[in-house]
Amino acid sequence: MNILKIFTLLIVILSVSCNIEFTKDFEIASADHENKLVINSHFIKGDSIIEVYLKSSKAVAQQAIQPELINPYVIIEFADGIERQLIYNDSTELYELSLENVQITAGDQIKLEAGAENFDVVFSSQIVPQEVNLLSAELEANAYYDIILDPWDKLTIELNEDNENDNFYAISLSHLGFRFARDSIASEWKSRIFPVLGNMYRGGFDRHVVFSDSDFNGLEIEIPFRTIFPKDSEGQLKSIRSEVILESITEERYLYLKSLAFVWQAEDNPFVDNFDLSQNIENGYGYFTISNVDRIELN
Amino acid sequence: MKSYIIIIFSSLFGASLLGQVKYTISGYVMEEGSQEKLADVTIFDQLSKNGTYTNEHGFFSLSLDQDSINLFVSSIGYQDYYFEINLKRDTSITVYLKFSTELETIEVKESREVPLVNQTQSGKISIALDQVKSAPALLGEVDILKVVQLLPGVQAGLEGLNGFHVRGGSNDQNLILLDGIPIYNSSHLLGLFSTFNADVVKYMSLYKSGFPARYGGRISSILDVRLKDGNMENYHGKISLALLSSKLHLEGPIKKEKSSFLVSIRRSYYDIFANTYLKIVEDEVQKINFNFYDINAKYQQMINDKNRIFGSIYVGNDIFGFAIQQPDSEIFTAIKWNNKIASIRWNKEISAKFFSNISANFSDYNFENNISSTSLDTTETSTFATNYQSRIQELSAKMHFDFVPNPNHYIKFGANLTRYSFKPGTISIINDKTSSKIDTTLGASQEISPELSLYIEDELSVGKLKAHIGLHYSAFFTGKTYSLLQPRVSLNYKLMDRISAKLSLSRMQQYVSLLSNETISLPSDIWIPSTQKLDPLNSWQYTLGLATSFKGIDFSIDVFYKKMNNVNSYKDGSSLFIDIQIPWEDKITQGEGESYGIEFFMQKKIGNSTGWFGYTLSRNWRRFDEINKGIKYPYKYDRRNSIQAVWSHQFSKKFSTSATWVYGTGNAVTLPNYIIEVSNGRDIFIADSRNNYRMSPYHRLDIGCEFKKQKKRSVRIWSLSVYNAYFRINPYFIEIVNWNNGYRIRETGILPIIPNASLSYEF
Repeated sequence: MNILKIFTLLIVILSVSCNIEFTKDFEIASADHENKLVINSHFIKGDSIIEVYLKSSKAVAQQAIQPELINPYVIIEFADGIERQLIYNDSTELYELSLENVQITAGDQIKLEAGAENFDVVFSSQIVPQEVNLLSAELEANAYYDIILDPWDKLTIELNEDNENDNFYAISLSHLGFRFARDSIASEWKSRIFPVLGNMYRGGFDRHVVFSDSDFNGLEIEIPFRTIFPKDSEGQLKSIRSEVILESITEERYLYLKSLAFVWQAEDNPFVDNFDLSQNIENGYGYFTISNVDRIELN
Repeated sequence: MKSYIIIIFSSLFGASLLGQVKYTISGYVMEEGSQEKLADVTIFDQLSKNGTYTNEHGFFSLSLDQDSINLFVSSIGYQDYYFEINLKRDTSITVYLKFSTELETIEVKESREVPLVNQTQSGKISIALDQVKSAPALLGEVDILKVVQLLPGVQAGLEGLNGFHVRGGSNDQNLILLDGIPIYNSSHLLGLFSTFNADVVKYMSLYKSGFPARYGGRISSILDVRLKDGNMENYHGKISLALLSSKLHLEGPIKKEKSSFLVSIRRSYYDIFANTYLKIVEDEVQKINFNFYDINAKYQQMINDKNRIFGSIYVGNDIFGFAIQQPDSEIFTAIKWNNKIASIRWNKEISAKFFSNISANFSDYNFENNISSTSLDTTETSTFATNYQSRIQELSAKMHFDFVPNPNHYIKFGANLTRYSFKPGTISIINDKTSSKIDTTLGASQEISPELSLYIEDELSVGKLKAHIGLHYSAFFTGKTYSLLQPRVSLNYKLMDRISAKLSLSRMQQYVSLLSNETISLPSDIWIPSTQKLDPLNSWQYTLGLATSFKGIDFSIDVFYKKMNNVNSYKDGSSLFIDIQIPWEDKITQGEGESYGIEFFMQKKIGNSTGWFGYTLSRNWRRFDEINKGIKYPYKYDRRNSIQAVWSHQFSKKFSTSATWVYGTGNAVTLPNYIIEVSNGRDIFIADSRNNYRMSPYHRLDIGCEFKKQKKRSVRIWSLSVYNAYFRINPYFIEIVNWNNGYRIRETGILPIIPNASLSYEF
């Protein structure tokens, strides 16, 4: 009988203790971080304006304040050697420069400089990548949103590049409502089960797949992925216009998008190793990148 | 190279030139009743002051001057045995020691040899099975590896799991041997239990430094676990029932004093309770598989007084999975991992001074992750399945010899030939749906690599100096040949009667390593070989220490330094399950590690109260060119301070208690320390360096007690224990969470206060 009582007591303690939530929260100690300027800027050759986002970094602390910038400036120097200062747009909160009278050619070096009071001046530069032409594109849209068993969409593109450099690319589709399926099951299945050809990653904004010349032999490539094409009430695909957008990007953009995909992947998972975000801003954080683009309409 | 060889040979022959006519007394020391052969038993002649000890197979050999000798045979946990003999010829004897059930008094005989002071290797710790069994047990299962985690210089891995890290090394740098065969996954149920069933373990030794030359293949530690052989005289057994697992153990003679068997089975049954619960509360039909079982079986056959044959197998299997049945589909997922070990061994007493152990061994570790989903559409049934598999197999032949030419030398030498087979991660994908059939296999193909090792070592005494000197040579063939001559030196110098100074130096090389995520180790971590692109790991370790004893308590203090080269890690952004088209070798980068520190240890092995106390102060670093911008960073298990205290007290033959308390500085983790905004308005959290933050310190108290009662034909044992008795929330993982327009750190623990009761019957 005594043993039975002991057993019962043990079971109760075990059950109760397993149901207690045991987490502990701590305030993050005072910010052990020196604020630096953050640049976000990507433009495509052929754009009419260039936009630069400029802010300060912020410490991860309970009530860390993001410092206001005093006397900030952004200057870009193009291949003609002229430094042009960007103007701040209150509505977009971006620094902008019109490119109407600016000639940009593949191979040009474009430099950026930005600063503010009490911050180190930051620098970056990019070489405008060579053009790459899309010769053809064909899409098989078979996937549905949340049925794991269904096959994936398949996009086949043919491209032509006639330089000997090691090129980098980002590819995306453009249509209303397009995005990659980003539910966690789909992303896990995608990376773990389906072969992703070479170093292909879904980069930022759920729009791109990035890859490089070294990832495929020849000029034909298959990219398995999921899209959500709009359907009517009977589940039939609606007729839509869609374009394949192929960007020829710099290596810095390739590394940034590639690392960004892993940062997104790791950020909610305490069991995944930390990934360093690839950045190309000297004395600061963020990215300044350029691409060339070609488009082809899908039927 | 040449200088090492010269030193060994001169010491081999130097002493013998001074010897007189001697006769050899040799034989075995066994436990009375079971005839289990006992290792590390001291045999000491009190007249000539010469002594020796038994090897792993219970054999000893002692050459003494002809005349009367007064032998003292002693081992912890057994009654001492004295006998006189007039030595006029080579003599072979068998000594039977009686297991001591009497409570010993506190008084300690001053003339008794105290092992730690005289032990040549400074980094060797032997733990008696009684101390292991008396320690409080998590979930009622006595666990050898959890006791190993309580030793100084040893860091536990994550809470509740069985990985251990010795002086800055990672978990895969420990050579864990089960009867001399390496075991590649030493845990069950994701680390909650170890693969070692304490009921079949005879003894274990941990080497943290001063590695004897007969061991090789890992750079940080050797855990040598030896199993019982089986009772040669009587049938015995044990049945145990705990809250989540049960055991059955049987052993006995097949033919008395000639052959014996031993079988031990364990099984957990958490899933039985869980499935019953699910049936009651859940609508969907669900089934959980979360269990393990293992089987140890051994057979020994005495051919004659000088020859014995042993055969043993171990099979352990784990599964963690679930199945969900819905009207139109079935989903099944399971993670399975298993170990299989088999061995056949021949012990031969070639002569009074010469003993051999020859064996053929097999070890296999396999991990699989299955996911399948079947659509039960009325028009088309189809199955989509994937299977990830990782496997390592080892087939080896070993020859080992003990040669004791005189009391001043104990020579061991031998050779091992091993054939490794690796399957470092393959993925099979099958989809039999008509519209898009897939049947493909991706990932690394099987790799075969042989390894050869040769060694020679000598334990010698010259006045106050004892030395254990050896050479280990190994060569690994993998399209490219890697080889290394590895010197091993341990010295013990008696400063005073009960104080000795110790020094050791070890060079080690490791051709097989475990590739794992730094954040957590999982059974899916893969064993990889050195290849043409990946150099083998190697290390140098130096230790300097002092040891003494006082009133039956051993004290030691050691300073150590270890340098590790070619340690492996995933590159940033790489992982096992990402970019499976990329060869696994290209996902790995190699770097270096460094650890240093000071350890204090005191241990009491005799008396009603036994236990130990250890304190370690250490630092532990890693550096890779491609990680953390090439700057060195703290290793995840870099714990500046760690304390281990273990105590057990036997109040009477019927009642005993025990307690353990551990403390460690928190693990090093990577936490972001700044935020930047990317252009779609989303914040990115960035850490400016790896392992830049410390979790809260870890500490925990476990208590236990045991009640024994003699019944008619058996002994009934009730064990009660409480793990984490004061309910400390020890952090298991850590994350940044939103909090009041800012952020906070959240630590989450997983193991609460866990009481346990188990009932056993020994017969």
